[in-house]
Amino acid sequence: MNGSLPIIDEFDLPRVGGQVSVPCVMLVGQPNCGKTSLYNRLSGLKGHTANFAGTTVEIAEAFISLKSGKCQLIDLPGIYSLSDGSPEEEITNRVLIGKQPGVPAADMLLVVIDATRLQHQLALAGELRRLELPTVIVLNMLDEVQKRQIQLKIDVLAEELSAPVFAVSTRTGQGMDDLLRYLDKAVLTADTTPKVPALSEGLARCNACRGCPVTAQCSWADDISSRVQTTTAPPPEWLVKADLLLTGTFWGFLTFLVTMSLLFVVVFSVAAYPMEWIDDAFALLAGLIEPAIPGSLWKSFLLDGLLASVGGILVFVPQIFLLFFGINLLEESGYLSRAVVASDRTMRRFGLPGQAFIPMLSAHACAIPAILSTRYIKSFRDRLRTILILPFLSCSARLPVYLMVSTLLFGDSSILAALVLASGYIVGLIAALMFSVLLGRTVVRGVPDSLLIELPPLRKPSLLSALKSASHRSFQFIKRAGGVILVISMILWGASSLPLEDSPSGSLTDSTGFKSSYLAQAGRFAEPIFKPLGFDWQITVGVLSSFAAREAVVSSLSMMASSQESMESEEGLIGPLRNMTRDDGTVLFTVPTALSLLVFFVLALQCFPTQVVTYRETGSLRWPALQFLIMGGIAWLASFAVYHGAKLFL
Amino acid sequence: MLLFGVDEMLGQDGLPSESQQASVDECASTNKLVCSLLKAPRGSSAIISGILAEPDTEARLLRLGFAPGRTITVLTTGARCLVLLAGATVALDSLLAAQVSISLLP
Repeated sequence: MNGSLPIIDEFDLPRVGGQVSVPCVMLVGQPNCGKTSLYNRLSGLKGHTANFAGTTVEIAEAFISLKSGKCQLIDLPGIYSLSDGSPEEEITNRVLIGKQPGVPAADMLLVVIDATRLQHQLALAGELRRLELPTVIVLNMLDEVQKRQIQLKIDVLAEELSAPVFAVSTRTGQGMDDLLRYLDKAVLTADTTPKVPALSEGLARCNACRGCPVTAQCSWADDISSRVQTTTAPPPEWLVKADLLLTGTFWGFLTFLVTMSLLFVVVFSVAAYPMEWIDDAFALLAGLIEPAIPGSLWKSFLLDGLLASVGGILVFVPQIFLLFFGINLLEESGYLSRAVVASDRTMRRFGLPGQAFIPMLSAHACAIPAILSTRYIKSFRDRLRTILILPFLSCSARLPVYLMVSTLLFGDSSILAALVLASGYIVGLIAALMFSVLLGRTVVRGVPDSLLIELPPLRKPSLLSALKSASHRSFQFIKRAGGVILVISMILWGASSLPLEDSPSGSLTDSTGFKSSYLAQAGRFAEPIFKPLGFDWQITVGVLSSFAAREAVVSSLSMMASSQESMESEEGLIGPLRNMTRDDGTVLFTVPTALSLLVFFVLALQCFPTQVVTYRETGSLRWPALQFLIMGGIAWLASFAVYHGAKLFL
Repeated sequence: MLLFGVDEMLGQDGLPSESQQASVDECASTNKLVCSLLKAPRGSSAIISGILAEPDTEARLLRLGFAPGRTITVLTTGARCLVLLAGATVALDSLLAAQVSISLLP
């Protein structure tokens, strides 16, 4: 037995009134106690994770088969107490008293404690025991306990908590067999001692000044800990030195910057391969389908619409998976908490918490995984503010636009072109930070929560947990955002491809058809809005088409610039763009117009997938709408100022 | 037990000003028996004697184990404070540290 159990299908289980009627075992513990590692040990890589209804708090559940029968295993979020101080605590509290809709009542609790931080974690165990539910205490990190020569009197702890105690290492599997044997026997019979008179008596004694329940629990925990843990075990000196270095404002922030930059370089260079494979697979599929489909409408629908949209969603998955895998490894290692401390002071100056630094870096690749990664920020207000500013940061989809404009403007000077490119990133960053300050004084008022965080010991991370979490996030992206993105992409395909009768070939790739499409008509209709920015109807069409994906502006403009023009080389792309003219015959891309277009794309949010993810993560249409309008407004005003300013000087 | 006005101790950005830093040095040099965590000398051990914060902040500190009567070891203070509390390392910013009053152990 290696500590994992066979997983069974939920649909095979007996049900009473539609609910699965098998015993339910819940894992509870403080953050970073190894609770999820135990869940993974018991459930393997299967089971699934979902949000509690109407919240972003996650629950992981699996149905496992013990020798004596089947049971449901639920991994509750890590908490410090049962008070309603955070969404996690509030929901855990409701689950444990059986008042959370859709979640069965607990038949048994597995209270997980990091044995190297026994004193700190005992207070929660005491609080949980007062619920008088059948309980098993799991002392995790046995391997570290032995390594640090910490002496534990497990029988004393079992007596004090009136519950069986098992010392295990979820990392090495040590002690797991004994725990499983006990669970096998106890789950169906609930063979534990629910009454805890000794504990209640102890908790009633408070030797501190306040007499409040939390103080009493801490006092009780200190007392029990001193009797259970006979040797004191301060953190190793190297760990203290590492903490001081990694949390420092200068060295800590520098280390964080280097670590995250390396992570992103690795993530995005490695992700490029599977992304290319996905592209190739869809191209191959398109090649196979094309000869078999008669009729231009169906062909265009399947190839330019459906396949392109599905491919456009799946192509994000490698980046999302690898990014979360990396972030999970850093979190599991204990480093991320230290990085939060290091960056907190800098971020706070702009009204953001330290945790916001991670999604802000990530947003330079793509805002979608960045928005998903804000889930590491506990406070909803801080998380919301971070989500709202992320689209200002220049994602990789903006790069083709920056390259197009910089080459249009300064194709002969690589230094000036590079400066234009860099200015796009700098303006985006400044706008994001200023917007955060503005939000803090207007719609998302308040300052970030003061920094208060436990630093878990630095440890070798669990690859299994990181893999599982990354898989979950990737699946969640496909499930939650994919459907909406697909629908929007199809609408945009329809708008840019129809009506077919105006196009000789009926294909989107035909510039004549594109120029007479509904999207082009919309461009002409919306032209007055963008005319003050120096845009004509053609650039307006480019702006509208970029709502599916920002880089689409380049292909739309190219399509209009040259009928059947090769876009394989940069020269083939830029040449026709330079020669584009307005309806009155004047050159379209003058310096003021090109600069105005650049500023507009740096600041505007014309990315529907990002807005869909914002909606899904905030649970309200208000925030993506606000984000769209404010970013659009700022972009319009800035472009207007740049266009007319440049016209004065150039 | 209000020992210090929090506003007096911190700058507008919640970080210790130069005068506050001088105050920290003074506290460390005079080795006062009772002071805020922000003023505790690095490496000292102390007993938490009270929390002088709004109820929400007090609850946050209590939940993480900052309970009166508990012993802490100060690893560092300043813009960010690191303390050993009940065998765990906890980081808190100067704003919160200023709201935790401690009695220094000899």
